[in-house]
Formats: sequence, C-alpha cells, structure tokens
Amino acid sequence: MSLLLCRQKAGRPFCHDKLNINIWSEQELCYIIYNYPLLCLGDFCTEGLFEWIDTELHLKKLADRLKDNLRTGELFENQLLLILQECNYYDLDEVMEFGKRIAEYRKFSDHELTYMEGKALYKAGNYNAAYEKFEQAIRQLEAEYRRSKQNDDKELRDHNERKADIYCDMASLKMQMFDEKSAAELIEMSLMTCSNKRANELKYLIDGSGELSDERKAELDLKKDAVRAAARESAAYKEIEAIFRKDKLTLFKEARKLAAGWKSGYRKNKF
Amino acid sequence: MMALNIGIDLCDDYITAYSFSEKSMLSASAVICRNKKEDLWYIGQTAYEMALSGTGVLTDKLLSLLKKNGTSTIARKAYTAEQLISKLIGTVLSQMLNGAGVDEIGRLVIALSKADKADMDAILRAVELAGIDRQKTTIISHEESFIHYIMSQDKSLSYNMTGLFDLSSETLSFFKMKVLRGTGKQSAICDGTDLEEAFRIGILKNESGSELGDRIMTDAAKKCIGNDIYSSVFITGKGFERTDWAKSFIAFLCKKRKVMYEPGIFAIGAAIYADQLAAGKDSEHLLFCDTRTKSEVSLSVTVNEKLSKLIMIPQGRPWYDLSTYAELMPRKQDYIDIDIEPSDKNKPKRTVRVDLKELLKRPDRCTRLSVEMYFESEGLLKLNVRDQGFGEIFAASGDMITESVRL
Repeated sequence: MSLLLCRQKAGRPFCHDKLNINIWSEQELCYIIYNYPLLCLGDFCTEGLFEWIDTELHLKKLADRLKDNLRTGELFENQLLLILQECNYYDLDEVMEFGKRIAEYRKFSDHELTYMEGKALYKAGNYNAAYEKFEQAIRQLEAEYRRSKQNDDKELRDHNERKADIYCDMASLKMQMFDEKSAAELIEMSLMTCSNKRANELKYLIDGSGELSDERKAELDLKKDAVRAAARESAAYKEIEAIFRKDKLTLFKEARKLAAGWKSGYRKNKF
Repeated sequence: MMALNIGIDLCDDYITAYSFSEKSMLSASAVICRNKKEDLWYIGQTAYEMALSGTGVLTDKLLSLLKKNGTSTIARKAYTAEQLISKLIGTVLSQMLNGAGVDEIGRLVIALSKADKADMDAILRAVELAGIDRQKTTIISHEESFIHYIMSQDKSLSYNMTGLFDLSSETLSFFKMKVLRGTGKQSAICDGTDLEEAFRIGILKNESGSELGDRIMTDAAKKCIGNDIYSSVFITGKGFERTDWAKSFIAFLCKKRKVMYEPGIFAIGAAIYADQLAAGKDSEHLLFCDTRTKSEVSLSVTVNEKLSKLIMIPQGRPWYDLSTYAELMPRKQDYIDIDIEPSDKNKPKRTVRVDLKELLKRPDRCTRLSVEMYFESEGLLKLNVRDQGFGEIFAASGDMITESVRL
C-alpha cells in the first residue's frame, strides 16, 4: 500500500499506433505494456520511443540503456521488461509474472501470436486493425498447414476447426461494426470450412436460422432478451432516447455527432 | 531608474511609512479627508484642519470600516473602505517618493496588527487601486515586522528573550520574541498578545491618570515578563511619546535589561523586509509568527520503490499566498495520510487521514490524483484532491474531495 509520486506529464505525448492512443506518462506506458504486451512488441520498441522516454519523461539512464540494447539486438520482450522494472509502476512480483507471460509467447506459432494480437486489438476497440490481424492469422495458419509434413486427417480437422473459429471472430467483429451482411458471409465461410456450433449459434442470432436444438435456441432467445433488456437500461440507450425527444434540428445535429462518434470508435481505443 | 523600498505600518489610528535607504519616516493619523468641491485628498493633521474648517469631509477608523464592509458618502459619492484606504496609502507613498526624489516603488511591505486573510486581501486590492503592482506588495503582521526589526539589530539584544510593549490610543499589546541559535538554520519565534489592561492614553494628560497608567503598565510588565530572562525590551506607540508618566514601569523594565524606545518600529521592520525582498532574498532565518507557517505538512510517498517524505507545506514560510501541488497515484491504498509536525516541539505530531474511496472507482493504479494545499486563513489549511483520470485510458471524472485541516 503506498502513494506513488508522479512526475510531471510529458509535454508531448507518444502515440501508440495500434491502440491509437496517446501516452502521456511513464505510468500509462507501463499500463499499456503490461496489459497489451502483444501490441508492444516489434515496431513499438523503437528509437522514437526511447528518445521520447529521454526528452519527455526525463528518464535518460533508462533511455540510454534501451538504445544500447536496440543496437546490440536485444529481444523486444527484454526491452519491455526493462521499462517495467525501471519505472516502478508494477512491483517485483508483477514484473516477474509479466516476464513469464511474455516468455510463453515464444512457444506460440506465428498464426497464434497474430490471432492473439487481433484479440488484443479487439479488446481495445480497434476493430479494423483487429480484423486485419485475423485475416493475417488465417493466411499464416494456411501457410503453416502447407509447410506441415503430416497432413493427416486429425491435422486437417484441427486446422479447419481453428480456421472456422477465426472466421467466427471476424463475424463478431463485423457485427460490432454494424455490418450484418459481411458477418453473415463470414459465418457461411466458417460453416463451409467445417460445421461448428459457434457459427450456427451466431447464424441463429443474426437471422434465426442455424442448425441448433430447440433447447439451445430457447436458451439463446432468453439470453438475447436479457441482453436487450439490459441494453434498454444502459446509459448509452437512454442517451439516444433523450436525443429523440428533442426538436428536429437538435435531433439531426446530435444524431450526426453520435454516428460520427461510433464510426471513429472503430478506429479509436475503448477500454 | 532608482526605486524606493518602503515599509508601512497601517492601523486604525495611524499610518507610518519608513524607507531604509532614505532613513526617512512619515507618520500621520490614519484619517482621510476629501475636499468638498474638488477631488483633492488629505491625510493626517491637514485632514483634521480641513474637516474643522468645513472645507472637507473626514473619514477615520478605515480598517474598522473595512471589516464591516462599510462605505462613506462624501460629496454625494459612496466610497468603499478599500477606495479610501487606497487614497490613504497612495497619498503617503506619493509624499515618500517626492521626498526621495524618486518616482517608482521598488518593494512595498505593509504591516497590519493581525494576520487576517480577509483584511490582507482587501489591502492588496486597495494597493492595486492606488496603482501599485500587486507583485511588488507584501502584507505582514506586527509580529513578523518585529522579528525583522530585531534580527537586524545587534545580537546582544536577542541573546535571551526580547520583548515589546506597544501602547497606542486604545490598545496595549505585548510581543515576546526568541531567537533559537544552534547548528543549521536559526529560527525566530514571536508571539503577540493584546492585553486586557489597555486604557485610553488620554488619561495620561493629568497626574492621577498618569499614576494610574503607570500602575497598569507596571502590573502588565510583571505579568508578561515575570521571571523570564529578557536581554532587551522595546517600547513603541503613541502612548510612549512621553515616558515621564511611566517611571515605575520603566524602572521595572530596566532591571538587568536594555530598554529602548523605538517609534514606528513596525514600519521600520516592514522596511527592512522590503529591502530584503528587493535584494531577492527572504529572511535568512526560519520565522514563526502569525503570518508564517508554524507546522510542517507532509505526505508519505513512494519514489523509486523507496518511502520518502514529500513536504507540501514547509515551516516558517509566509502562508498568505502559499499554495502547493503534487500528483499522486494510490497503489492498493484508498486514503491519504497528512502528517503534521508543529515547530513547537512540545506539541505532538499528528496525522489526518483523508478517505479517497469516492474517487477510486477504477482498477488499482488507474487514478492519478492532484493534491492541492493552500491556506484559507491563519492555521486553517484547505486540501483539494481531484481525480485526474489516467491519461486517455480513463478520462478524468472531475470529482473532487475537499477537506479543511486546522494546523
């Protein structure tokens, strides 16, 4: 238990492109690294970041070490660990846990890492970037399958199930972006790859079709009604109701603003 | 261009201005008189004469008028106390500047009898109305002024305690000062008290009144000084312009002490401080009086995983415009402990806990808090703790917790 004394915020922020967010302090930098490590590997740990740490956060020693490590080809994971260790936002146990977590990533295949990156982007509300990562994950999955020497039935089944699952994630993304048509097409592609319960459930939720038992359909109906009821009580819904009660001019003005917000939300971070 | 540093002592009865460089003093009754026909203003004796002759309208007791938020109607125009005080100070300053052949004020220090924040705010506004830059003006109290005066004198006068009796038209005050010398920064403590034994100095005009006055002062001196050891005692104020009525009193004071009469002691002390400020330095000593902080206020914070003391309010600083600010992030903690350490070692340290639960509605370490401290009045610290959010990750809610802490 303690009170961390914060330094003055940076005069100029550092922009995290994938999350589309500006970072203003060492605490925010650590938070992003710790919670979104997959989005901080590779092209995040650059000379630009280290220069910003030096000139804006005034952590010259840390910046110099990071720059030296970059020159000697140090692993990105170790660079992130160094930042967490030196900024003291997380305690020793948490930093060690983080180290173990990112070490585990080395065990994953390319498509798994890309897929996880896509999930991280989806969690952060950056849907377009998440969608692109899922597409890339499918391409990598197919390449891995082609490179694989076994190609037996089990492997083919596993490959198809994995692919179908990723298509379902992509369909969910499209639903978040109000694109029902694309979502339906992706669900069909998932079902064409292999029959799977998840795609059928999504199909039922979208258009009422889908090969499911009556019992399961009833469960999903109840779930849908509960979600609708909860949505009606939400602040966002009430905000829209309030807009519709206003005069025409105000209604159009506020509706335009709201829609613009939703659209930009596809690219903007939402935590 | 030469600028003049001036110290002013402003009371209900009198205004005294002093310039150290010019060694010039101006003292006048704190009354202001406006010519009935023209916009001309007079102070002191001239003001009385104009009022008596019927050519002007006089207003006195300006500080009392200020406290009552009163106004005075002169030539069918209502003037606020601030405006009248502004005229008074402006007139005095003009006379001082003309006397020195200079047309710019360097630093201005005004001493008031008490450190009342509302009065200090009003005097600063009055000074601005008189065309003086607020940044050049400092308000202190008689206690602080006395300290500056004594610290500029020979050290032998303050080896032990130093006392001051101030006898004005209707008030009698006693100031007790001590300089603590040792290793490190020296400190000076001053405590002023208004004595119940105050009497109207008008009684001193006749023999029986003088005897009574002498008896009152002697008793007051015995009570205030008692068996304490004083290196010196000063006397000041209109009541001591003559001391032939106070034989017993003076005799008591003179036993093993130096006794000095210093008219305008508070104006001189203020002028000494004005010179120091103009030279870009505050007092070399830590001062403890009613215009200075008497307690150190700090927070326990973590810096680079080490526990540190963050001093928010240092001891001995002028509290009037003191404001401090820090940004903190609670880690698994939903309170702030404010540690208060009085300068008086006989008083215990204490901790005041401020509950932060209302502000901490996000995951741990995702709330940056700004902590601001300033003084509402002498000894009353105001604390504002505001949610700053967490960058663009969590927007600031604008919620704030406010606490007042009596030091």
